[in-house]
Amino acid sequence: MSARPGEQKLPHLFRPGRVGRYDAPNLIKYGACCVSNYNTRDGYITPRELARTRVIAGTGCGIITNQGAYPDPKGEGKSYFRQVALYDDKFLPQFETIARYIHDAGAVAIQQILHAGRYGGIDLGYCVQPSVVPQTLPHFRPPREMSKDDIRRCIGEHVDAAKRAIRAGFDGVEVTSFMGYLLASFNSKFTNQRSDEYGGSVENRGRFMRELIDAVKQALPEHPFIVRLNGAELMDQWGGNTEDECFELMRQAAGCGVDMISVTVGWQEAPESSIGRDVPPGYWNRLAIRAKEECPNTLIAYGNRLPDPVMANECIGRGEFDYWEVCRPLLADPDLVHKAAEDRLDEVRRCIGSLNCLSRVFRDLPYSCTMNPALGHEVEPEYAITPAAVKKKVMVIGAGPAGMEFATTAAKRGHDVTVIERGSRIGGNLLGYAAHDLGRPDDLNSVVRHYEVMAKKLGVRMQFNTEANPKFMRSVLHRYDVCVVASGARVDMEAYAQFEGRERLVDALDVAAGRVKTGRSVVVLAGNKVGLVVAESLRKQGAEVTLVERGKRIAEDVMPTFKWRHTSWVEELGIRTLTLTRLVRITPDAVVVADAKGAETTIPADTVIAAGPRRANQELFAEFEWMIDELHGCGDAIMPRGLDAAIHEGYRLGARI
Amino acid sequence: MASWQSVLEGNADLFSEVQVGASIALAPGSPPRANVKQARDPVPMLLWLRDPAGMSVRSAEYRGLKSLASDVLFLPEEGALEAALAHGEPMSELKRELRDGRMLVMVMRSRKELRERGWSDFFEALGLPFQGTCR
Repeated sequence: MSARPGEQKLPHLFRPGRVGRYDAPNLIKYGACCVSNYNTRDGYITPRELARTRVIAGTGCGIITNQGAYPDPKGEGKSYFRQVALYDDKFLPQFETIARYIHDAGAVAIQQILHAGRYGGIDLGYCVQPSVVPQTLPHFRPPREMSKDDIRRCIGEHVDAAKRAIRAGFDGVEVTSFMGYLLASFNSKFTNQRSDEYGGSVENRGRFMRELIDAVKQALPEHPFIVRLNGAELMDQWGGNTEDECFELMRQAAGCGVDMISVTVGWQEAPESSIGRDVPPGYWNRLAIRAKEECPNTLIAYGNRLPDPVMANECIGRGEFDYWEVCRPLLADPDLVHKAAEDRLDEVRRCIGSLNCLSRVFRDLPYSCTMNPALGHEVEPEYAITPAAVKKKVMVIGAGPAGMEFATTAAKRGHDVTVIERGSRIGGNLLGYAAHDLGRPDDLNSVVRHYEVMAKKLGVRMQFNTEANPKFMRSVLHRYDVCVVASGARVDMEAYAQFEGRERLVDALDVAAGRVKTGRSVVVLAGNKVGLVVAESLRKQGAEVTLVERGKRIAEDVMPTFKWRHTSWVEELGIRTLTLTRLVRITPDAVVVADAKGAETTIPADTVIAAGPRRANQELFAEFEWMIDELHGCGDAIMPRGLDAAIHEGYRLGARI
Repeated sequence: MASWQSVLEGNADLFSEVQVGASIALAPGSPPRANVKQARDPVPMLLWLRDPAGMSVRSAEYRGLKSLASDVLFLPEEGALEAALAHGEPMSELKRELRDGRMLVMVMRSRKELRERGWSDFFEALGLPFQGTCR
């Protein structure tokens, strides 16, 4: 078969590979980046998970790693609420199905075994570790020390689980020795303070890992064995391993004959973010490069914060690592590899690093993805994009993420879609948000670019600079069957009607969009997402900024993974923050506020920005109700929330209309 | 001690739910890892203890984890506590020190126990629920 156009452009990535005795069609490994939490509480794989893994199998990756299963019947290794188990043959039938899906797709099937150690024991109230070193994060369980008998038993359980995976039809297995999981906690001098042969020197600390690798290799000599290891723990300032020690452990694993080392970064409790949107792509590549240098005869897989196939292709071409290990970008767009192969990278829905996936998993919820509303719903026909039974003429009001997600989804189903937008381009309030984002604006702008490309490719008509109102509607209503109101939300300026000096208030969304110029001393009313982004940006530009929040805390409407980022930015930038504080009045040169006890403070201000409360732009629902056959709404026009809800609701409506 | 007392009093709302007898130990002056060891020579430490009247600051001795009765152990790097006090907003500086690793927290009880003992607001203010490399 001749190479597809994108494969010729990315020749290194799409080169055939080999792991052990198995041929892989390309050098892309689907990494088991986090568990889905789609399964039963007692470890059985569900139809929801099977439908999801069928999509994973079809991603086009040369190697597919199935998500980590805990290997022990007690559940000491179980770290996630609905993690799958592999400690008994009773779990095998579903694993057999998954292995078959992967093979049917032409990929090498790897089963990960995940004993979480320090982060395990989710149902037990304790976790097991090499030594009793208390947790640094309150959501993990208190530790118990493993005896030598425990270690031997644990190795046996790993071997049994590995054999079971092979019996289910997997080609090889992978074990986790990173992120602070069990083997990593033995490897690290932060958590391993033993004085026996499993503690002390790097040689001794790595003994458990080496014994486990040896045991699995002896049991399954014909099958590839992969170990995931930290290139950096990011725990060294607390007495964890240095990078040199991490690579010494990597050499130990390579010396034991592992077929592949997957290089990762950070422990769950490390004080540094490793994969968020504020970490530039390629930031950790040096660790993979060093791994390849130190273990030249072992395959190196790598993909931490490396979401771009073009970049990965170049890295492989330079010999920096052997396999691009990718997961989160494939959560956002399961067709990423196919789009790369077909030279359609402009159509990719990029992972924007919001870490919605992980923040949900860490709250015992099934993972989901901001960019992929169908993720986790593959088993539900209602989420599938199928040809519309009746092709309709659809008008969408608003070209923000909700409107565009609806428009492109509906167009894929064959509907004839026109988007009416008051502004001059696609994006809505996301454009203003991206313009002021301190994280990585390019990620947010990629959402806008995606919709621009897809609208064009799908033939969605865009009518810009057009105000949708009853007069306009009357002039066009006979042309459409459906109207979808995706007009977003606004700051509710009417909430300030009773305040003296309200005429000085400016709307945060106007500031974000560049429609209003601000002064040098700024007061922002409301420490919500909009207020924070504007406040941070203005402060960074040099203004003196005070944030006034009625509630107890700022950032209450921000997704957990970005809540701490905003609070950190506010502190780092020196933004004065007054919580439990309300507006009293606005004077010509100041804002007067009162705290919970009624004590008033005067804050000099040449600009006063209202960022909240937010109010849905719902007026069109009432105005259009008797004008059109079908009237629907989605996104912030229903209730002000954010990007995640906008995209998901737009998709759901588009998939069923 | 007086300085920390005024810091705690200035942030009394964070400790309003803390149960009488609950405490946080702050054992500075050593590399964090050394403090983890079970047996060691006693070192001076601060104790933030909930009294019936509110949070109070006491001096005490840190003798290792096994004998520690506190709910939480803070292990600041040398000078980190002083740096926090010298800052205009000591609690904000503590939070920054936690994030950049100058201060290590060790929790001595389960999450449920910590919640029952009233530490949720304080932990939330420090950002502890949102710490970690994946968050």
